[in-house]
Amino acid sequence: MRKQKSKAWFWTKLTVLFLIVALILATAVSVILSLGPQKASEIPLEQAQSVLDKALTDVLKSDREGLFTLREKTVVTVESLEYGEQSDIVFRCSYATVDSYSAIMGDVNSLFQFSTQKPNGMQMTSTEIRLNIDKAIAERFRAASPLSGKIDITFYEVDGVLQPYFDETVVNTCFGGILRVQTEVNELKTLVIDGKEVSIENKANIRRGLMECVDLSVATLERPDNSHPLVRWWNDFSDEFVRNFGDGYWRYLSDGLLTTLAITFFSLIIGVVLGVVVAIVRCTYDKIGKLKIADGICRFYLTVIRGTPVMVQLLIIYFVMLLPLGVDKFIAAVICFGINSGAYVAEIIRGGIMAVDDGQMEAGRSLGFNYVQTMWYIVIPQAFKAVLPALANEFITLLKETSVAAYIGVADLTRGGEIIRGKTFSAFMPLLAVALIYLVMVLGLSYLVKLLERRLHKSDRG
Amino acid sequence: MIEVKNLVKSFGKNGEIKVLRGINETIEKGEKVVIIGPSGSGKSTFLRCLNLLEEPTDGAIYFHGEEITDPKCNVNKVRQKLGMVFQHFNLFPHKTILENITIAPVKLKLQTKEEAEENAKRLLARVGLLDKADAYPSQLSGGQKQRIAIVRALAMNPEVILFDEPTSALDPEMVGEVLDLMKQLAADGMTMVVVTHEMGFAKEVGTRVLFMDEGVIMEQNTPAEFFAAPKTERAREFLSKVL
Repeated sequence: MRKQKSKAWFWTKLTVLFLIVALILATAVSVILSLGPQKASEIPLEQAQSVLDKALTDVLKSDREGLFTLREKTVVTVESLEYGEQSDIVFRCSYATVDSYSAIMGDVNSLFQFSTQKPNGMQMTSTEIRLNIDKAIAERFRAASPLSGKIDITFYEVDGVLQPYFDETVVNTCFGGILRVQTEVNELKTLVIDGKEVSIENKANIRRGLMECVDLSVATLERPDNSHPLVRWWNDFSDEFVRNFGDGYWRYLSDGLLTTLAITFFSLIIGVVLGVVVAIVRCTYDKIGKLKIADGICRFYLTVIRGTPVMVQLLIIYFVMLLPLGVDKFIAAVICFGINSGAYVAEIIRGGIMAVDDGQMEAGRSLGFNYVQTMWYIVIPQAFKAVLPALANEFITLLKETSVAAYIGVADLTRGGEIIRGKTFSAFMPLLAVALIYLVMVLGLSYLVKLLERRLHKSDRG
Repeated sequence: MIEVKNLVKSFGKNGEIKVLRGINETIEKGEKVVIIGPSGSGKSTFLRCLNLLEEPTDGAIYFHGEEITDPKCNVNKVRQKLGMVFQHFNLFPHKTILENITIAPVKLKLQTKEEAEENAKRLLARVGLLDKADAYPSQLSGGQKQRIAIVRALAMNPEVILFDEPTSALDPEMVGEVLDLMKQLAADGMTMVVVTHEMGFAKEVGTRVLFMDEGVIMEQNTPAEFFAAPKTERAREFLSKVL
């Protein structure tokens, strides 16, 4: 009665606990989702224009010398709006600006004269180029012919604020093709300035200098990733995943898994056979005093195997005993783990045999079975059933223990993970994958053992 | 059929605990020998020595004139003819009832599987437990288990069946069904050696009563005479306590 009540209590508590956890999870998910992007609200055209103007003012800082302001020469007018699929808005604009390309190209000689004629002969830095440009070509900007056309500028709503996304086209056109200078300069391998040949080594510097000229560096040149944090995390995750397991790298794990399973399977067979034999020998000696010498050998075997680490056994068996004979690593691992697990299996089964009632042996003998027959038909099956959970634990331990085989270079599952780690320099995924695979196998094995136990316990019902 | 000569059995490292102190006895075919006596008198040990579950310390046991205590004797062969029923049944819990009965004849290649099963079913029908053929021992009551244990012994077609307190572990209401079966066996002419505390059974079925105490057979007689007029003081004392 009392027992039933406590059982009911247990389920009640479990249910309540489950509900609480579910509630917390639901809350967490809804909070996370509410953090996600919201569709930009409808914006009137005038407001859009002011947003654009502010964005461009932010980007187009006037030069330090105050000789000219690019903004004054650049007018971008919003003509229509279009909502994108994410929380982006496309401003369809017309623009009118200076032809800064021709302005700069017209004074290209002075540009590079400055940049290569630093008094101390040092390489010019981009900052200096910028300063030089400002001084040298300010006037040319003022006089430059106008350019006009149509462009689309994409704004993203990030944290409730519209932020512009300037791609190459936008920057080139909107700001007078200023960046196209770089494109053109790239094609010049050498420049002749004042009769001297000047090589252009660092083109990136020139480009950066020009960008800094108008403080473009503060603009968002990369498409802002305003996707959902979960989506972003997923993207990072899948990128990592592909990097670690794509391109056939997963074969290291699958091949390793097969090797691990093969080692476990064969060592299991050796271990069980060895374990049963040793257990029978020891029980026989304990019960009827026969097989004294065999019992001594078994004791020695158990002491040595259970008294030393499996890693050391593996190293000795492979490098000391089997390598000189030219035996394969895989075989060596199977032999080592078989011998090792045999010792543990023996003690488990011995416990099981000792736990079987003596009456069973007597009943078997009284029917005319000899000792071995009685052991085999009557005692061992019962002992096996009694120790099945312990044996299952031993097998699970064995499966995990085979990871040590990587030490002598067997390409098992663990080694597969290590190989990937060595190739991608990424520890997280390969090692976690290895752990996960072991875990799944252990759970699977536990489940199978449970099924087997249920089958064996059929005779206990009643 | 069974001849016991100066049987001695002692336990302990140096044999300091003497359980049997020289027993001479002959059991003929068809006899129903009932062994009674107080606890620790050595009755069970004596019975177990008969099929060598206990190895005698000294003395000799002959079965059909062959010395089974001789190390060269094939004990397993002899045991096939010496059935035994235990106090605690000792059925094989991992086998079904049918398997419990057939395993020995089949594995020892005395009968084919079909013969053994047919035989087992015939015996099960006889004891009224045919419907339990596919059950496991744990699903049976004590009385049913003991009847199955007897059937298991019978399935080997033994010449003698040794009963080691077959009803001592049973609930009182189940004693009857087991004793009834044993009476049937007796009526069929089976040679039986029974260690028991069931005096009624001894009186009714036994052809001879052995009274044991302190490792020797103190007294033996027909049940009628033994229970009516025990000769020794020890037997009188024992009977006065159990009757």
